Amino acid sequence: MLFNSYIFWVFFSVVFVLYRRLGHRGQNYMLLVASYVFYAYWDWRFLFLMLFSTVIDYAAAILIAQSLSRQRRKTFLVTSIVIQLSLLGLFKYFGFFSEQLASLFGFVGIPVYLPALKFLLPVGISFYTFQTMSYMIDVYRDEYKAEKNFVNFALFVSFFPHLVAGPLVRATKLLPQIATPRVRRSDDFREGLYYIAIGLFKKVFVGDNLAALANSIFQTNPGKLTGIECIVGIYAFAFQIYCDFSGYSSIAQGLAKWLNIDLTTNFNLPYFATSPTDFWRRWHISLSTWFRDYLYIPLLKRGAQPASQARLFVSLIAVMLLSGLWHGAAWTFVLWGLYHGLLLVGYRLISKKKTARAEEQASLPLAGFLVRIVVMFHLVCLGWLLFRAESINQVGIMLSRIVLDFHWTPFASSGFAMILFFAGPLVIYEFWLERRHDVLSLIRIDWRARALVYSYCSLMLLFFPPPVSNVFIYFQF
Amino acid sequence: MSSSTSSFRAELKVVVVVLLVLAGSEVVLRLTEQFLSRDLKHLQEIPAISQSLIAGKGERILFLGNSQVRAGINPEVIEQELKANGVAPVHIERVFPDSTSLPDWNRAFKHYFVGTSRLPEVLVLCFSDIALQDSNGIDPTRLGHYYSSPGEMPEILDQDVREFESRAEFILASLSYSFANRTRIRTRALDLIVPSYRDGAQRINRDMKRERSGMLAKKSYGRLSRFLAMAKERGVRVIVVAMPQPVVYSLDPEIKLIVETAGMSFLDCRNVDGISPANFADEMHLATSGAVVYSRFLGRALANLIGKPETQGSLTSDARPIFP
Repeated sequence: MLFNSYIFWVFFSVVFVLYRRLGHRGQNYMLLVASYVFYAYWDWRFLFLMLFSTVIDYAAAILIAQSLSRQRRKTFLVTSIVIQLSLLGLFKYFGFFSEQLASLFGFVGIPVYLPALKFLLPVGISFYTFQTMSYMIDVYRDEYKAEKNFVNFALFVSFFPHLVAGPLVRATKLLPQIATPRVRRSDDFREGLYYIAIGLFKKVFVGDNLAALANSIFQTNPGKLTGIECIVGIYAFAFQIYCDFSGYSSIAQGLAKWLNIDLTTNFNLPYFATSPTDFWRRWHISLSTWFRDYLYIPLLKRGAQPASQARLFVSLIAVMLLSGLWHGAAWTFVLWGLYHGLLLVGYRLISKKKTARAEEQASLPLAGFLVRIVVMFHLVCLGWLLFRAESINQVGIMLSRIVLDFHWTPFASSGFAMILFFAGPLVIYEFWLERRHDVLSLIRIDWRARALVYSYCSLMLLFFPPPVSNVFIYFQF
Repeated sequence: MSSSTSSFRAELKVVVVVLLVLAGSEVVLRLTEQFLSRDLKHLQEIPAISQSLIAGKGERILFLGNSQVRAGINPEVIEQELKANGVAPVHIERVFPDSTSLPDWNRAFKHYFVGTSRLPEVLVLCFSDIALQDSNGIDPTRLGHYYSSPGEMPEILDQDVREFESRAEFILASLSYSFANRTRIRTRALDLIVPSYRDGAQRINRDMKRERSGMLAKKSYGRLSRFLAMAKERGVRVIVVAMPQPVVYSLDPEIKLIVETAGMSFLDCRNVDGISPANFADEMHLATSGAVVYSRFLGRALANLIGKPETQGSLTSDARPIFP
């Protein structure tokens, strides 16, 4: 049930009408049932897996809260995390690691036949696993009380707007909103409409339309592409992945708003980042902060205080490697993580003396600001090449085409014009948001301007359907 | 009035403007639909074509297919060849909605010809490549807007449009001109805005087709069998013709078997003497010169078949019966 499908909007209409008619407890029960129906619509078998995870973490958190012994608390936490990560590992990584191990043994001349289990990846497993892990760690750290109401906890795990592709919402933010009666706020409809309209525009008009172009280029034998065509493919993918993922997050936020629930903002105009650090403050914020709070900071805190520069850099690279692996079980993802880790380390080294604080960035002259944006965007695009490529070999060939065969073709012209047509208006709009330092600027200005923007979005959605309907890219993570 | 209600009402103004803009686009489309594309003009002419067919004198022959029929079948040349070979008088009409395959042809034939009892004596069904396979889907927007009436809806929803998303599109297209024509507007707008759009789009289409072909289900021809049975029941003789392409495609022998089992005729015209890749305008369509050569050949082959009883007519490209 995709957010850009008709069936979803029929489903949501029913949920919304029921939600308005029910009291707080009834709303929670109904939302839980609706979330399970939503998830089962993908594949009902995986509902049992999610239910199993829910029960395990619900019980483990209560046991942690009730236990006075530090050792016992740790045991419950570790048990829960091991179970969750084992499920994630089994479904997502088993095939990859068994293949790598077999290749390694084969390389040294020892043939090993490991079971080649290929599982269908349960939709959204990476998201709900990380969300419940953060809950368990928060309870263990006494930063959040264990939830005693099973329905509330189950709804926290499965709340349908963000269930399959995020944003990851911490228990500290979402559970209190579930546990206490929701209040209808004056701006919820307006904000929800904004998030949904912009989200659908990004996902369907920009993301899906450019997906056809990006897929066409990345599925062509790279030896037959010119350098410019490779660049077109990378740009198209850069906008596809951004609009696909941020569009999904935006729709999720909008739906939750209409249910009077606030989700975490997941994207803050990432292609206007001026440095690698800035990029990760803007891109997939809920995952970046998860890694920061539950992995990076604990890694830094281990051992001598303050952490040495070497430890800092190693921690950064380790976290980014894991972030890459979180996105998928393939060497290209690992390389993507490593690349971003190295970018962060490199940036730390060169900006050691002049720390680029937000205020400093704001005071940058426009030309300097633009140059930084353009440089950073291209560094990110280089990363997207690693991310999207089918193999490391393809990365190498495409890079060599870019360097050695830089000639213009009609297909390249056509591709650039399509990127300009589909993504250009969004870039201009986001530049305006960036200069105003407020992603919700549109809902704070005159309603006529908003009507104009929404009319444009509606017409584009109506008259520029994508050639094929694509599922959201992040479902596979 | 609470602040929540007033904010909601204020935002409703925005929603109303958007709805008015969409309604405006609907009105504009209703007034200008026929100017959008040659294909649309043709679709709107099909009722008149069926009227003309039934009013025609002599053997009524209908050519049904996609744009390959528009580009490759020259009715005047075919008529000349038929006359020259003793089949006269004839009345020829053509129906050729763009980018279509058997599901569309089946519905268009039922809607415009069977439903109106304006049946030809001979139906020449022109296809290429995989156009007769069951794996071909139907465009629910075109079906909803052009080939259906409320009376046909139960059969369509039962046989052709079975998924919720397609059904929603089918219903929206039957109600809205803008929804029904959105892909045409997309193509036309991008053609104007984007340089070399057609070449680029063709390349992307090829890649998408290749990707889809890897996912195609097992070949089956249930719809073809049903179509032939329906035509036979109504006394329409069907001649299935494999059209040429610059690169000769492989043909599933099962097609010929199904056609012959149904008591209809099959013509394999993929290779025609005198037609080379130079006679094609693009990767699919014959150029004018190629269409003349091809229509001469097809006219002769059809003349051979039309004079004979139905079950004796399968010809290869050199117009010799396979089962004499």
